[in-house]
Amino acid sequence: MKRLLPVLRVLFRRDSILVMVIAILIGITVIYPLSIMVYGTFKSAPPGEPSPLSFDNYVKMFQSSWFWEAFGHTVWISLGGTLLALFLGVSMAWIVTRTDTPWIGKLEIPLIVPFFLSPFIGALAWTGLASRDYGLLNGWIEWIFGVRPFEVFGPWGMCWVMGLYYSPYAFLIVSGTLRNMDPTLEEAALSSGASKFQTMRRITLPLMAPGIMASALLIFVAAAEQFGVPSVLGMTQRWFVLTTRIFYLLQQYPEDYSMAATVAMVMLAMTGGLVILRTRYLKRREFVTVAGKGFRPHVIPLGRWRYVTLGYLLSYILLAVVLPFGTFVAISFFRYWSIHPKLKYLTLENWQYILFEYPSTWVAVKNSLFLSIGGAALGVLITAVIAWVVVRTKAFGKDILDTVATLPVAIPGLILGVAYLWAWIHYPIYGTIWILMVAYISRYLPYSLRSIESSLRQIDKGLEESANISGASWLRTFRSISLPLLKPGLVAAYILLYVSFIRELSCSILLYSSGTEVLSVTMFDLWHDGMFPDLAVIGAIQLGITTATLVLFSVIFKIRITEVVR
Amino acid sequence: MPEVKIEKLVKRFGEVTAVAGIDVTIPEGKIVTFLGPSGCGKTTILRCVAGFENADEGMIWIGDQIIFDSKEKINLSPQKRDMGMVFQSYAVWPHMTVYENIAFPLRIRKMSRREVDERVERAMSMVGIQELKDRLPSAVSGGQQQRVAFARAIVYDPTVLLLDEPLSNLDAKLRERMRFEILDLQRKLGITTIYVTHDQEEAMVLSDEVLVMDQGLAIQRGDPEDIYFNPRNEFVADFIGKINFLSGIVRTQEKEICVVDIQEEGLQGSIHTTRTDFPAGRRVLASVRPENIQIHTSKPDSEVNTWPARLERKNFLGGLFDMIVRVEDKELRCRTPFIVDAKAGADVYIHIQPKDVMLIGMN
Repeated sequence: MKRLLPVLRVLFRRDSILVMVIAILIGITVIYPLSIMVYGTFKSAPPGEPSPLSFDNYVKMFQSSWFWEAFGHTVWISLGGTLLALFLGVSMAWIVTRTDTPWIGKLEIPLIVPFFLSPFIGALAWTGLASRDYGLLNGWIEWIFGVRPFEVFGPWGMCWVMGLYYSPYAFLIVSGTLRNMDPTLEEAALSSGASKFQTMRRITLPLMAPGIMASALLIFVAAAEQFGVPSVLGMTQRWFVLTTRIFYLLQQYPEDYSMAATVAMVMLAMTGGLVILRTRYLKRREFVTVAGKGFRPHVIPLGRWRYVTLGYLLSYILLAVVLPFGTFVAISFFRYWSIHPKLKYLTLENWQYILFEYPSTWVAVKNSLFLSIGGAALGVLITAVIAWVVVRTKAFGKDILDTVATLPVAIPGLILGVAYLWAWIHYPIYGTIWILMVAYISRYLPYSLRSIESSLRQIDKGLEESANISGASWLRTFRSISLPLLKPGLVAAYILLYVSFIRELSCSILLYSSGTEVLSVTMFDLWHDGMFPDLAVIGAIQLGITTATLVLFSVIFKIRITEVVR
Repeated sequence: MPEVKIEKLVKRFGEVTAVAGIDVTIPEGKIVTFLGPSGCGKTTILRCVAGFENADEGMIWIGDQIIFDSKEKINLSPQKRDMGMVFQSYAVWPHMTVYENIAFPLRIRKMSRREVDERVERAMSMVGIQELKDRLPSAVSGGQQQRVAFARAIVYDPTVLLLDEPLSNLDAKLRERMRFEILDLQRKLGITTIYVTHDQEEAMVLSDEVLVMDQGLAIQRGDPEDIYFNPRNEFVADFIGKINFLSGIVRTQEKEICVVDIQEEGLQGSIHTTRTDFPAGRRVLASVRPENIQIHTSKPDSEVNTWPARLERKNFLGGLFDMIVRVEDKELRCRTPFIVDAKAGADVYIHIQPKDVMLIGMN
């Protein structure tokens, strides 16, 4: 008993109790559902019904042709999307940080706008531009050259859309690397006789490699778990990837929960493996190249070529933001959208129908706002507590907590949805809006956690300790010192969660039921009912809400949007 | 080894003139230090010489070759200037081993494998880092990285060596040792060297000549002793070492001795000096280094330059005493390595030998 006392004392310290409470929460929301799903892969009956355990599902899956086809497709579009995103992101990062291209300061925000836009809406919008049947661009080119060159439906369209909307990830990571790179590393090469090209190849590129590699893995995982894009651009053509195949297994009658879980396991193994690879890689190859004092950005004068690079940046903004979303909003005002939209089809009927007649609209607006405003607030609160415990206390088990809370990075949204189906389908929480909120928060917790942890690490511990020494309790210290200092980090995390929640599709599509529809789900339904102009109205509403909120936030909290994504 | 000549160099950054017309020649095989407070333009000149900054006006020669001429629009790119440079941040490439770092300039010059090996070995042994050969920079200390940067800068026998505050990121002990090593190395190689620093002690130890700079202008040039003992103006006197200033007017000016009437608010009287380069009636600053103020507990024999004073503060710095004495209402700083047999608050006498009183002209 005497030996046990110190252990008990540690366990019952306030911060340790906090750790345990959070650990239990994460256990219920992440680990338990995943375990049930894994269990489900060995069953032949749906959740809640008894059945013998066997490896039949795995055998069946690995012997089927549809699985290997979907697997191959996933690798195909993820690789294609990643390569395009890397090409765009890295080249733009280099242009923005290392050249004298005009207007760079003004373009910084427009260049990362695609980060906040959902690839799902991007895919929908691009159908209006580059579908062979009704794409505007095809119409224009046909008018001049007599051919319709583009077809956004199919694998190349998916690569294109994901490349466009995932390139900000590479852009942000690589431009960060380039900005922080000590310019004397390159100058040392130049003064030791290397040409600009040799310096680029032997010094700059290798130093950028960790950043490029990290963004490649990040984008590949994001592309592989993407559900919205392949569902819009492939499902009607029966061109399946793993996510859409899982969805399909749960939509057919009778639903095959076990097989869906089994395919989900493959995805989980894939994303998990890549995330582990990425963490390992980053740990091993983190060069400290951050510049000391006397930092001078090293800018390459491009001469006349600077207008070419400017044109390149502007084309990106045109293709990723202006054209698709302009078209998207335009579509919402047309009765029919065709390759040559006719002015006589201009109408307000879509808006009238969606705003006043379509039964799901206001339910979805209300749910989406509740989930994103309230969910993000709850998420930030939970994250702040976890971050504080992890960074600032010596609580028992805090490192495990950190790892466990970061786990969901490797869990695709759709897979979390499958796991929740398996775990909660027979409980009263299923079918309520709360299951969506729990799923959203669990899924995106790692991102806000990373953001808040890093801003907490930047606050000198002495600031908190001097509050302690002047008599403040830990709660008081957190409230009066840490919280105000953390404000920018918290706001950034809130915006990150808000934007993720309001566009969330892949969890919601499996977990919603009548009455808990959200905006993305409504769009998805309208899409598969073939009501393109109507869904464009919903999309426009969602875009409007997101934009208004972002602007409101940056005004109220005086925070630059560029800081959110750092 | 050629000399480096800089002529009428001007560099502006927007509204700010960083270098405001500098003429300086770095003689063959010598080491010249650009010394000044931060922002005085010393690093900018170095970067102009290296080719990383494009000066607005002026010319730069290496020997007979013009490497920069604003009028003729000549501006040789850095890689063609054949200079070695050591950066303040060391700029050791983190993705290459120590060996690869040092071999890089040789590989650029397409030397044979054997020659690369030989030269790298020699450079490494010169700076004493042979045992670090296969390590990555992240696995060596700051001082060792510094040596890597040095080896890399000299391995290809450049014509000129540029050192940009190479010691400022090292701790005090190592810094002191490295000064001598750099000097040894420079002597051994006989390479024309420009050394930029804000540390006056470093400049004193290392330089054949010092160029003191302030606000983009060259204020004084000379060997270290000359700069220390004959500062041209208040800025140089104050920046190099510690000093006490007493403003006054030259009263009489004879062959051997000059008498200055002190006109300080807290102190009247006169001070004698052997410096005789200012005519009677001229406003001057009589300047005395702290180590040249002697402290006596009893009245010294000489009446000249002797004042009764109060020892206000006495700090032992280990190896020397740092004191403040008050003469009438004027505080003076003095330093001595000898034991001072008086406590703070005691009445003492101070004496300054006339040869130790420097005069600086004022307008």
